[in-house]
Amino acid sequence: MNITLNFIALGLVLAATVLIGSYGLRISRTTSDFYVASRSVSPWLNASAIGGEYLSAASFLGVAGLVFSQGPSGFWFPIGYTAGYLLLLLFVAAPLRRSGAYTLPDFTSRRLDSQGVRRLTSTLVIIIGWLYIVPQLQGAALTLGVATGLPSWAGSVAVAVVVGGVVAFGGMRSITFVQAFQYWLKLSAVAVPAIAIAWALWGTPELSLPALETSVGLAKETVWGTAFATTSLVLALLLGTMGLPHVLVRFTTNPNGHAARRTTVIVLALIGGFYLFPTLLGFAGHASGIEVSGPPDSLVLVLPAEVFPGLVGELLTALVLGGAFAAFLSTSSGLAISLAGVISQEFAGGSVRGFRIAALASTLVPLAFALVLAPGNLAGSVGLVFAFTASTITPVLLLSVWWQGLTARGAIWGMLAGGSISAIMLILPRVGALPAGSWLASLDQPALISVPIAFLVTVVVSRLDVNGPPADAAGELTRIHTPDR
Amino acid sequence: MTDSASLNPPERVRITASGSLGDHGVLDSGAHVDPRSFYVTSLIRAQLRLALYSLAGFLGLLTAFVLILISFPELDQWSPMGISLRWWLLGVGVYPLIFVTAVIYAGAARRNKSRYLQLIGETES
Repeated sequence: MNITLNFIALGLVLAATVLIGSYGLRISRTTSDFYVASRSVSPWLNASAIGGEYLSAASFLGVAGLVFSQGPSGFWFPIGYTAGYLLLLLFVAAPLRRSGAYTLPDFTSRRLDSQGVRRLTSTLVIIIGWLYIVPQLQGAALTLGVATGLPSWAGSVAVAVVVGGVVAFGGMRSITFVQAFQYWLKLSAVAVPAIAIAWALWGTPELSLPALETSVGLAKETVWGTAFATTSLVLALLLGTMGLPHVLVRFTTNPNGHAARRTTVIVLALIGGFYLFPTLLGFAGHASGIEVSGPPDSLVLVLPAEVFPGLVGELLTALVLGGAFAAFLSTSSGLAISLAGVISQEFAGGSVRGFRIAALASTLVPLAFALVLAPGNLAGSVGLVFAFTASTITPVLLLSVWWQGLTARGAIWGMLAGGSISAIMLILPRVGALPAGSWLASLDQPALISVPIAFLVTVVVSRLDVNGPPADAAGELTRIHTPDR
Repeated sequence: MTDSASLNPPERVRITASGSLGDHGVLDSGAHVDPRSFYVTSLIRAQLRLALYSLAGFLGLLTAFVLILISFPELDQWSPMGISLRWWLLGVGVYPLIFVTAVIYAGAARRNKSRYLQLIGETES
C-alpha cells in the first residue's frame, strides 16, 4: 500500500465533493431549492444522482465481500437491491411524484389526513435513516483503517463531518450534482480494477472455482431453512427499497410523473450495470483463492495490490479507495438530506436555518452509534434495515397509493405491528437471546413473516375502523394517478 | 346544448366542473357517476394490473432460474468461458431481465396513460 497515494485519492474525492457542492450553493436560494432542487432535474442527471446515492458501502464493498466469502448465495443482495428499484418503478414512482410531497411523512399525512400518521412515519423515517447511515460510517472506518493505518474512528468522523457540512450548506441542488458525479466515479473506481484483474487472471492455471458452493441460497442447516431465509431476504430487499427515505425524496425532483418513470428505467440500467463489477471482483477473489487478512468486505481494497505488485497495484488501490469513499459520502448525504427534511419540518417549521441544524443532527447521532457498535458485514447490516423498512413504511405506502379504503388507524396499527415483529425477529437471534441451533433462532430474516402481518393488520384495522377512510380519499387517489402534463 | 355544440368547436363544451350529467345519458349503468372519475378508476385499475403482471412475470422467471439450477445440477457442468451456469444466471443474467421488465412496463404504462387522455378527450367533445 502506498499511503501517500491513498491520501491523495481521498483528498481528491473530498475536494471534488466540496467544490461541486459549493457550485450548487450559489444557485440554491429558496426553500424549494433546498429540499427538491426546484423540481427541474433532467432524467439522466437525476438517474445518475439516484444511482450515486443508492450504491452504498454495502454495494461497493459488501457485494464483492459476500460473493467472495459465500459464492453464489451472495448474489441475492445485488439482485434484491436492483429488483427493489423495479418494484419502486412498478408501484410508486409516478404516483409519488404526482403527489408533490417533499417527504414521506408529507405524503402519508396528506393522503390519510392525520397528524398521528405523520408523527409515526416521521419517527420511522428517522430511525431507518439513522440505522442506514451507521453501516456507511463503519465502512468508512474499515476503509480508512485498511488504506492508511489511521485509527478506525477517523474514517467515520471524516465522512460524518463532510456530509453534515455539504448537506447543511448546499441543500439538494448541490447534492444532485455531487451524487451524479459520484455515481460515475464509483463506476470507474470499481470497473477499471475489476476489468484489469479479470484480464490478468484470465487463463491462469490455478484459477478454479472451489467446489464448496452447492447452495444458491443463504446457508442454513435444512433445505427449508435455506429456502425460508433466502426468500425472506429477497422479499425484504424487494420491498424495502421503495420505503427508504432517501430513495423516495429523489422522485420529487422529477418534473412530472412520466419523467419519474423514465428516470427509474435509466436508474435500473445504471445500478444493474454497476453490480456486474463487484460481482466480477468477488468472483476473481473467490476463484484465485486469495487470503484476505481483514474482514471479507475489504476484498475490493486489497485485491488490486495482490494481483498487481508495484505501482499499477498502488494506483488501482488508490482509485478503489476514492470510489469507496464516494460511496460512503453519497449514500450518507442522501440519507442526511431526507432526514434533515423530515426533522426540520417536524421540529423547526421547515425553514432553511432549521434544515441546516437538522442536517448536522442527522449525521451526529449515527456517528455516535457507529463509534459504539461493533461492525458486522456491510451488506448484511444494510439488509436488516431493508427488512425493517419493508415491514413498516412499505405496506402503508403501497396501500396509500393503491387502496382507497386505507384509514389512518389502519396505517398506524400496521406500522406498529410490522415494526415490532420485525424488530423482535431481527434483534433476538443477534443478541443470543434464543438457544443456538433452535428453529426459532434460525428465523433471523423476518420479512416473510413480518411483511404479510403488517399488510394484514393494516387492511383488517382499516376495514374495522368506524371512522372510515379520509373524506377525500377518492380525490387524493385521483390526484396522484391522473397524468400530469 | 346541442345547438351550442354544433356552433362551437367540440372541445369548448366542458362537463367537468358541474358534474351533473343526467342530461347526457352517456353512461347507462352509472348515470350519477362523473365519467372522468369513472375513467380515473379504470386507469388506476389498469396501471395496478399492469404493475402486478410485470411483477409476476419477473418473479416467475427469477424462480424458474433458481428451480432450473436446483433441479438440474448437471447443467452446472456447462461453463462458458470457465464460469459455471449458476454464476452466469444469478450473477449476470438477472440484470437484463430486470431492465427488460422495466422497459416493457414503462411503455405499457405510457400507453395506459395515452388511452386515458384520449378517453377524457372524447368525453369533452
